[in-house]
Amino acid sequence: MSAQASVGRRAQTKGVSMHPNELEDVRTIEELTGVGFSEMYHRHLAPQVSAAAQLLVEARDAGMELDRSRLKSEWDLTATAQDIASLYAEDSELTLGE
Amino acid sequence: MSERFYPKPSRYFATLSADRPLFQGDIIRGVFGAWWRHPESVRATLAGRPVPSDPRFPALDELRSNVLVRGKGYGMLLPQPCEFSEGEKGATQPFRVVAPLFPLDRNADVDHDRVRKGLVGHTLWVPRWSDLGPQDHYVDLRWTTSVDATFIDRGGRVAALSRASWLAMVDRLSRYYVGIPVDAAAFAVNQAQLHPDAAG
Repeated sequence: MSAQASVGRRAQTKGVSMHPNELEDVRTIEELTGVGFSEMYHRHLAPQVSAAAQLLVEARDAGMELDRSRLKSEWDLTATAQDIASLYAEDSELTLGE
Repeated sequence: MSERFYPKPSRYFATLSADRPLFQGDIIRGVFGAWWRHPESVRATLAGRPVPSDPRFPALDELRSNVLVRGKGYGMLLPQPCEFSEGEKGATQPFRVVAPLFPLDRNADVDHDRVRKGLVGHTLWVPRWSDLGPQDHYVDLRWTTSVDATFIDRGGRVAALSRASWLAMVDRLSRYYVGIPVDAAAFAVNQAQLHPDAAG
Protein backbone atom coordinates (compact mmCIF):
# COMPACT_ATOMS: atom_id res chain seq x y z
CA MET A 1 0.00 0.00 0.00
CA SER A 2 1.34 3.44 -0.88
CA ALA A 3 1.96 6.03 1.80
CA GLN A 4 -0.75 8.22 0.33
CA ALA A 5 -3.30 5.42 0.37
CA SER A 6 -2.33 4.54 3.91
CA VAL A 7 -2.76 8.11 5.11
CA GLY A 8 -6.05 8.39 3.28
CA ARG A 9 -7.49 5.29 4.84
CA ARG A 10 -6.43 6.28 8.30
CA ALA A 11 -7.54 9.87 8.05
CA GLN A 12 -10.85 9.65 6.22
CA THR A 13 -13.69 7.23 6.68
CA LYS A 14 -17.31 7.35 5.62
CA GLY A 15 -19.70 5.40 7.76
CA VAL A 16 -22.11 3.23 5.79
CA SER A 17 -25.45 2.30 7.27
CA MET A 18 -26.58 -1.08 6.03
CA HIS A 19 -29.82 -2.91 5.85
CA PRO A 20 -29.55 -6.16 7.86
CA ASN A 21 -29.76 -8.19 4.67
CA GLU A 22 -27.00 -6.13 3.11
CA LEU A 23 -24.83 -6.63 6.16
CA GLU A 24 -25.48 -10.36 5.98
CA ASP A 25 -24.35 -10.39 2.35
CA VAL A 26 -21.16 -8.55 3.27
CA ARG A 27 -20.43 -11.01 6.05
CA THR A 28 -21.16 -13.96 3.78
CA ILE A 29 -18.63 -12.74 1.22
CA GLU A 30 -16.09 -12.10 3.95
CA GLU A 31 -16.55 -15.57 5.43
CA LEU A 32 -16.35 -17.33 2.07
CA THR A 33 -13.50 -15.36 0.54
CA GLY A 34 -11.75 -13.44 3.28
CA VAL A 35 -12.46 -10.20 1.43
CA GLY A 36 -13.97 -7.61 3.76
CA PHE A 37 -16.19 -4.70 2.89
CA SER A 38 -13.38 -2.13 2.87
CA GLU A 39 -11.39 -4.26 0.48
CA MET A 40 -14.44 -4.76 -1.72
CA TYR A 41 -14.88 -1.00 -1.80
CA HIS A 42 -11.27 -0.33 -2.74
CA ARG A 43 -11.14 -3.10 -5.34
CA HIS A 44 -14.45 -2.49 -7.06
CA LEU A 45 -16.42 0.60 -6.10
CA ALA A 46 -13.67 3.18 -5.58
CA PRO A 47 -12.48 3.11 -9.23
CA GLN A 48 -16.08 3.45 -10.38
CA VAL A 49 -16.74 6.36 -8.05
CA SER A 50 -13.59 8.08 -9.30
CA ALA A 51 -14.67 7.73 -12.95
CA ALA A 52 -18.17 8.86 -12.01
CA ALA A 53 -16.83 11.99 -10.30
CA GLN A 54 -14.72 12.84 -13.36
CA LEU A 55 -17.72 12.49 -15.67
CA LEU A 56 -20.00 14.63 -13.52
CA VAL A 57 -17.35 17.33 -13.00
CA GLU A 58 -16.79 17.43 -16.75
CA ALA A 59 -20.53 17.83 -17.30
CA ARG A 60 -20.73 20.63 -14.74
CA ASP A 61 -17.71 22.40 -16.22
CA ALA A 62 -19.31 22.11 -19.66
CA GLY A 63 -22.24 24.15 -18.40
CA MET A 64 -24.74 21.35 -17.94
CA GLU A 65 -27.18 21.58 -15.10
CA LEU A 66 -27.31 18.37 -13.13
CA ASP A 67 -30.67 19.25 -11.71
CA ARG A 68 -32.99 17.24 -9.55
CA SER A 69 -34.64 15.53 -12.50
CA ARG A 70 -31.29 14.17 -13.56
CA LEU A 71 -30.07 13.33 -10.09
CA LYS A 72 -33.31 12.03 -8.62
CA SER A 73 -32.51 8.51 -7.85
CA GLU A 74 -32.69 5.55 -5.57
CA TRP A 75 -28.92 5.99 -5.60
CA ASP A 76 -29.27 9.28 -3.82
CA LEU A 77 -25.69 9.99 -2.87
CA THR A 78 -26.69 12.95 -0.74
CA ALA A 79 -29.27 11.16 1.35
CA THR A 80 -28.88 11.37 5.08
CA ALA A 81 -29.14 8.31 7.29
CA GLN A 82 -32.59 9.52 8.25
CA ASP A 83 -33.65 9.73 4.60
CA ILE A 84 -32.48 6.20 4.03
CA ALA A 85 -34.17 4.99 7.19
CA SER A 86 -37.45 6.43 5.98
CA LEU A 87 -37.28 4.23 2.88
CA TYR A 88 -37.31 1.15 5.02
CA ALA A 89 -39.96 2.41 7.39
CA GLU A 90 -42.73 2.69 4.80
CA ASP A 91 -43.86 -0.84 4.11
CA SER A 92 -41.98 -3.17 6.35
CA GLU A 93 -40.71 -3.77 9.79
CA LEU A 94 -37.17 -3.81 8.59
CA THR A 95 -34.79 -1.38 10.22
CA LEU A 96 -31.30 -0.21 9.46
CA GLY A 97 -28.41 -2.08 10.96
CA GLU A 98 -25.74 -0.40 12.99
CA MET B 1 -36.16 20.82 -17.99
CA SER B 2 -32.90 22.64 -17.76
CA GLU B 3 -32.05 24.98 -20.61
CA ARG B 4 -28.53 23.70 -20.36
CA PHE B 5 -29.38 20.17 -21.27
CA TYR B 6 -26.33 19.87 -23.51
CA PRO B 7 -22.75 20.90 -22.80
CA LYS B 8 -21.26 24.00 -24.36
CA PRO B 9 -20.16 23.41 -27.95
CA SER B 10 -16.52 23.79 -26.91
CA ARG B 11 -16.96 20.85 -24.50
CA TYR B 12 -19.18 18.72 -26.70
CA PHE B 13 -16.60 16.60 -28.53
CA ALA B 14 -13.71 14.42 -27.48
CA THR B 15 -10.32 14.50 -29.14
CA LEU B 16 -10.14 11.97 -31.95
CA SER B 17 -7.21 9.67 -32.54
CA ALA B 18 -6.68 6.59 -34.67
CA ASP B 19 -6.39 4.32 -31.64
CA ARG B 20 -9.58 5.55 -29.99
CA PRO B 21 -12.05 2.66 -29.92
CA LEU B 22 -15.45 3.03 -31.51
CA PHE B 23 -17.88 4.19 -28.87
CA GLN B 24 -21.49 5.09 -28.26
CA GLY B 25 -22.32 8.46 -29.83
CA ASP B 26 -19.54 8.38 -32.43
CA ILE B 27 -20.51 10.24 -35.60
CA ILE B 28 -19.72 8.30 -38.74
CA ARG B 29 -19.58 9.45 -42.34
CA GLY B 30 -21.51 7.44 -44.92
CA VAL B 31 -24.49 6.50 -42.76
CA PHE B 32 -28.17 7.09 -43.48
CA GLY B 33 -31.63 6.43 -42.19
CA ALA B 34 -34.21 4.19 -43.87
CA TRP B 35 -37.99 4.05 -43.57
CA TRP B 36 -40.01 1.21 -45.05
CA ARG B 37 -43.24 2.64 -46.28
CA HIS B 38 -46.26 0.42 -46.77
CA PRO B 39 -47.11 0.32 -50.50
CA GLU B 40 -50.83 0.55 -49.86
CA SER B 41 -50.28 3.64 -47.75
CA VAL B 42 -48.25 5.19 -50.56
CA ARG B 43 -50.91 4.33 -53.16
CA ALA B 44 -53.73 5.64 -50.98
CA THR B 45 -51.89 8.88 -50.26
CA LEU B 46 -51.15 9.47 -53.94
CA ALA B 47 -54.79 8.78 -54.86
CA GLY B 48 -56.16 10.95 -52.07
CA ARG B 49 -57.86 7.99 -50.45
CA PRO B 50 -57.76 7.02 -46.77
CA VAL B 51 -55.13 4.52 -45.80
CA PRO B 52 -56.68 1.03 -45.58
CA SER B 53 -57.17 -0.16 -42.04
CA ASP B 54 -56.31 -3.78 -42.78
CA PRO B 55 -53.74 -3.75 -45.57
CA ARG B 56 -52.40 -6.98 -47.01
CA PHE B 57 -48.78 -7.85 -46.34
CA PRO B 58 -46.76 -6.54 -49.28
CA ALA B 59 -44.70 -8.65 -51.64
CA LEU B 60 -40.95 -8.41 -51.31
CA ASP B 61 -40.61 -6.44 -54.53
CA GLU B 62 -43.13 -3.92 -53.27
CA LEU B 63 -41.18 -3.52 -50.05
CA ARG B 64 -37.97 -2.99 -51.96
CA SER B 65 -39.49 -0.26 -54.06
CA ASN B 66 -40.96 1.60 -51.12
CA VAL B 67 -37.99 2.07 -48.87
CA LEU B 68 -37.12 5.71 -48.31
CA VAL B 69 -33.45 6.39 -47.61
CA ARG B 70 -32.69 9.75 -46.05
CA GLY B 71 -29.88 11.68 -44.52
CA LYS B 72 -26.92 13.79 -45.51
CA GLY B 73 -24.35 11.14 -44.97
CA TYR B 74 -23.64 11.22 -41.25
CA GLY B 75 -25.04 8.96 -38.56
CA MET B 76 -24.64 8.46 -34.83
CA LEU B 77 -23.82 5.05 -33.37
CA LEU B 78 -26.47 4.48 -30.72
CA PRO B 79 -26.20 1.28 -28.63
CA GLN B 80 -24.43 0.76 -25.38
CA PRO B 81 -20.77 0.11 -26.35
CA CYS B 82 -20.67 -3.56 -25.33
CA GLU B 83 -23.06 -4.25 -28.21
CA PHE B 84 -20.39 -3.49 -30.83
CA SER B 85 -17.13 -3.65 -28.88
CA GLU B 86 -14.24 -4.26 -31.23
CA GLY B 87 -12.61 -7.63 -30.73
CA GLU B 88 -15.63 -8.89 -28.78
CA LYS B 89 -19.28 -8.87 -29.76
CA GLY B 90 -18.67 -6.36 -32.50
CA ALA B 91 -16.27 -8.75 -34.21
CA THR B 92 -18.98 -11.34 -34.78
CA GLN B 93 -22.37 -9.68 -34.94
CA PRO B 94 -22.92 -7.54 -38.07
CA PHE B 95 -25.67 -5.20 -36.90
CA ARG B 96 -24.98 -1.55 -36.12
CA VAL B 97 -27.87 0.54 -34.91
CA VAL B 98 -27.53 4.15 -36.02
CA ALA B 99 -29.62 7.26 -36.44
CA PRO B 100 -28.96 9.79 -39.20
CA LEU B 101 -27.98 13.41 -38.70
CA PHE B 102 -29.81 16.21 -40.47
CA PRO B 103 -28.62 19.81 -40.86
CA LEU B 104 -30.28 22.19 -38.45
CA ASP B 105 -30.89 24.69 -41.24
CA ARG B 106 -33.87 26.54 -42.62
CA ASN B 107 -35.18 23.32 -44.16
CA ALA B 108 -35.22 21.46 -40.86
CA ASP B 109 -38.72 20.47 -39.78
CA VAL B 110 -37.92 21.05 -36.10
CA ASP B 111 -37.71 24.15 -33.94
CA HIS B 112 -34.04 25.09 -33.74
CA ASP B 113 -34.10 26.62 -30.26
CA ARG B 114 -36.08 23.76 -28.79
CA VAL B 115 -33.69 21.21 -30.27
CA ARG B 116 -30.72 23.06 -28.80
CA LYS B 117 -32.41 23.14 -25.39
CA GLY B 118 -33.16 19.42 -25.42
CA LEU B 119 -36.90 19.96 -25.63
CA VAL B 120 -37.66 17.94 -28.78
CA GLY B 121 -37.98 14.36 -27.64
CA HIS B 122 -36.96 12.53 -30.81
CA THR B 123 -33.85 14.62 -31.46
CA LEU B 124 -30.31 15.11 -30.23
CA TRP B 125 -28.61 18.40 -30.91
CA VAL B 126 -25.10 18.15 -32.40
CA PRO B 127 -23.07 21.36 -32.80
CA ARG B 128 -20.68 21.71 -35.73
CA TRP B 129 -17.83 19.34 -35.11
CA SER B 130 -15.13 21.14 -37.04
CA ASP B 131 -14.50 24.43 -38.73
CA LEU B 132 -15.30 22.66 -41.98
CA GLY B 133 -18.78 21.69 -40.84
CA PRO B 134 -21.47 23.88 -42.39
CA GLN B 135 -23.76 24.18 -39.36
CA ASP B 136 -25.29 22.45 -36.40
CA HIS B 137 -27.03 19.15 -36.95
CA TYR B 138 -29.60 17.07 -35.13
CA VAL B 139 -29.99 13.33 -34.82
CA ASP B 140 -33.52 12.15 -35.58
CA LEU B 141 -34.26 9.06 -33.50
CA ARG B 142 -37.41 8.39 -35.55
CA TRP B 143 -35.09 7.38 -38.37
CA THR B 144 -33.11 4.89 -36.32
CA THR B 145 -31.86 2.19 -38.66
CA SER B 146 -29.77 -0.95 -38.52
CA VAL B 147 -26.90 -1.06 -41.01
CA ASP B 148 -24.20 -3.55 -41.78
CA ALA B 149 -21.09 -3.26 -39.63
CA THR B 150 -19.05 -2.51 -42.74
CA PHE B 151 -20.56 0.98 -42.79
CA ILE B 152 -19.06 1.68 -39.37
CA ASP B 153 -15.33 1.96 -38.91
CA ARG B 154 -12.84 4.28 -37.30
CA GLY B 155 -11.78 5.65 -40.68
CA GLY B 156 -15.24 7.09 -41.29
CA ARG B 157 -15.55 8.62 -37.86
CA VAL B 158 -15.66 12.41 -37.89
CA ALA B 159 -16.44 13.12 -34.24
CA ALA B 160 -16.79 11.47 -30.84
CA LEU B 161 -18.64 12.61 -27.74
CA SER B 162 -17.03 13.97 -24.61
CA ARG B 163 -18.14 12.44 -21.35
CA ALA B 164 -20.46 15.39 -20.77
CA SER B 165 -22.25 15.10 -24.11
CA TRP B 166 -22.33 11.31 -23.71
CA LEU B 167 -24.35 11.84 -20.53
CA ALA B 168 -26.72 14.17 -22.41
CA MET B 169 -27.04 11.68 -25.26
CA VAL B 170 -27.88 8.80 -22.94
CA ASP B 171 -30.41 11.02 -21.18
CA ARG B 172 -32.08 11.74 -24.52
CA LEU B 173 -32.20 8.02 -25.37
CA SER B 174 -33.73 7.21 -22.01
CA ARG B 175 -36.37 9.91 -22.36
CA TYR B 176 -37.20 8.84 -25.93
CA TYR B 177 -37.30 5.07 -25.45
CA VAL B 178 -38.32 4.76 -21.82
CA GLY B 179 -39.94 8.09 -20.99
CA ILE B 180 -37.83 8.90 -17.95
CA PRO B 181 -34.69 11.01 -17.47
CA VAL B 182 -31.50 9.10 -16.93
CA ASP B 183 -30.28 8.79 -13.38
CA ALA B 184 -26.99 10.67 -13.70
CA ALA B 185 -25.47 9.36 -10.49
CA ALA B 186 -26.29 5.71 -11.21
CA PHE B 187 -25.22 6.10 -14.83
CA ALA B 188 -21.93 7.68 -13.85
CA VAL B 189 -21.10 5.08 -11.21
CA ASN B 190 -21.97 2.15 -13.46
CA GLN B 191 -20.86 3.33 -16.89
CA ALA B 192 -18.30 6.15 -16.66
CA GLN B 193 -15.36 3.75 -16.73
CA LEU B 194 -16.36 2.59 -20.21
CA HIS B 195 -15.74 5.98 -21.83
CA PRO B 196 -12.47 6.13 -23.78
CA ASP B 197 -11.45 9.27 -21.88
CA ALA B 198 -11.85 7.66 -18.46
CA ALA B 199 -8.49 7.46 -16.70
CA GLY B 200 -7.23 3.90 -16.68
